[in-house]
Amino acid sequence: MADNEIFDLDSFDFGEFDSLDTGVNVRRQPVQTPDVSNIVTSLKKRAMIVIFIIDISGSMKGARIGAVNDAIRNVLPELKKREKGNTSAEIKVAIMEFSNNAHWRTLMPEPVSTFRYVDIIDVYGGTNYGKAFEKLNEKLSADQFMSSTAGAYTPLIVFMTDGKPSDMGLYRETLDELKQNKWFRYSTRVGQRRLQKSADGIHR
Amino acid sequence: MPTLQNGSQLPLVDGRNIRITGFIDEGGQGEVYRVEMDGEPYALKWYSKITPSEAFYKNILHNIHMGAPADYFLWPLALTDKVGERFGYIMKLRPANYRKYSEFLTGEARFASWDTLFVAALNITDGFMKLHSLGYSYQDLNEGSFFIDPENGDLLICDNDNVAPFGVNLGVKGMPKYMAPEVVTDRTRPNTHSDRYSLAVILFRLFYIDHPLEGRYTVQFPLTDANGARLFGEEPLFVYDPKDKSNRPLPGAHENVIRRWPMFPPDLTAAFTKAFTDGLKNIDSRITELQWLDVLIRARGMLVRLDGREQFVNGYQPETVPDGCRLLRTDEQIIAVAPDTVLYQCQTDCTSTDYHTPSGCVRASVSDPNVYGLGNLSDHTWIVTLPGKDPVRVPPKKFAPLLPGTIISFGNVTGKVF
Repeated sequence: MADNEIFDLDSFDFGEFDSLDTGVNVRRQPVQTPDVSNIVTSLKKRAMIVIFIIDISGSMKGARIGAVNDAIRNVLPELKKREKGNTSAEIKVAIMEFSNNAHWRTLMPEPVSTFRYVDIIDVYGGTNYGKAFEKLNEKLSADQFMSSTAGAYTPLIVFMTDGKPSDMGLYRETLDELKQNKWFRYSTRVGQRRLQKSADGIHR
Repeated sequence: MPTLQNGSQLPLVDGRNIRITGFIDEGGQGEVYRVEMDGEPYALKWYSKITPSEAFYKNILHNIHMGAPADYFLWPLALTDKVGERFGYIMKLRPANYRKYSEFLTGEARFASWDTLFVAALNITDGFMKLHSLGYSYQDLNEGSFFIDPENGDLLICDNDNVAPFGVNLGVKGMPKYMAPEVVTDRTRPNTHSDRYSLAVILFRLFYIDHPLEGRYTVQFPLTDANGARLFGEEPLFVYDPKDKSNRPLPGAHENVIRRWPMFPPDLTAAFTKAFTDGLKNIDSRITELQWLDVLIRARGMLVRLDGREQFVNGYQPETVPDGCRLLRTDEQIIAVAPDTVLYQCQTDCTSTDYHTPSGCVRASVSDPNVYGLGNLSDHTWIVTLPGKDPVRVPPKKFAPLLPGTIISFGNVTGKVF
């Protein structure tokens, strides 16, 4: 390169030119260009919400809840890996437990990059699908879990249960309501269960 | 889990052997290993997760024989024999000073200067110009295709395994949001034209971070396959479409493009507007690499350093030119100059697109910093005419004064100082 040549040029002076005429005739200054090293770069990604719905009824005791805890611990680093370096999706995690009742462990979906999973230990009660569907329906809306300034991907809903619904006959009504929810219709649904004779029609 | 053992040997189709010396990374198609070939370290891309077709294998072999279109390409250098259905190709290792393109979007990597960003954009454009000029297309341009040195804009283009001659596609379609609308909607397989769309997205995000088609309209829709096909294929709408404001960037969601759109010089915004309005669906309106080089060179010419700070100048509005800055208007460009501005061959020779080699350099006079001179770094003499004076010769390493009204003939380009 010509570094040396540029350096050589420094030894010249321009004394022979009229130093009074700078030739600049400024009327207004432009907007200052921010420095490249501190201009804010905040890429807002579309949210991708991963919802785990976990059966914590009494029958899940022991190996079954152990398998759930293990599965979630295994999937989280995979989700983190997929999110890192990707400029399109911010993966967020939400977890619901249900038995006689249902409640969200996460008040809002939490970024997978900082999410910390705490093993489920206490399991008790029945398997009330209806409560789970009702709680899910509440949160599947643009002003709840699906709120995201930069838009969202369709949610991924993972439903993990081992048994028959104890609210057999009642849960279908809440399931029908849930099916009216557009986010639910758009969602990718995965069902995991140990017994085969239940949860018909919940997953594709 | 790496599928190849450290220390194991693999035969190449040309009869040589390589030895696995380490695991580097894995991706969607397979793994990358550090290997030794002829006693030198190289990288091996090993297709452990997919089984590419025989045509794909033969195409890589063909590309190896063709050789890299330019130094930017981490090109396949050698191919392994097949082990069962598995195989891989050898390429150069990526030095540690190169960062992923996507890291510049997430803010994990930053350019040393705005000028460096322009050099990176010019390099990307130059790379694809050279590839396309040979009759080949890349077919899968996406945010994982590039590595850039943030200090100087040096570029590496990786994943060259889908590069194929005109009319050939080996199955790849591309990455969502980087695919051309006609590829999204399956009207065509990737080709040179769709490369040019993807290149425009890559360049846009390098400058503006956010996506050119993601605005207040698109964010309302959950990105299902059907919505994706509509928003990025059937009915794409540029965020700054001059005729349709309905998809403008949304404050809070697309702050980067909101902040940067008015900041860069007008040539750049005009080119992106064309690329993402007329050029969205009409391949004849896509911006060619040569056109991009021209645009980028013009826009870079409006970047000056004043008081140690970089400033974009709108040379089309001389009344906004800041103190201490002059304009040099040539036949085809308006160049903002200030002390230490470097002119390149592409600015003083109309037949050149060389944006690396300096041809001139502005200096303030030692005795009076308000007086500027343009040093001749070219290898031939300039003819300089001061207002009301006779032309004088300015040989290499001598200075032309940058007084208003001065006319400088660089050879096939003439410029006037304002």
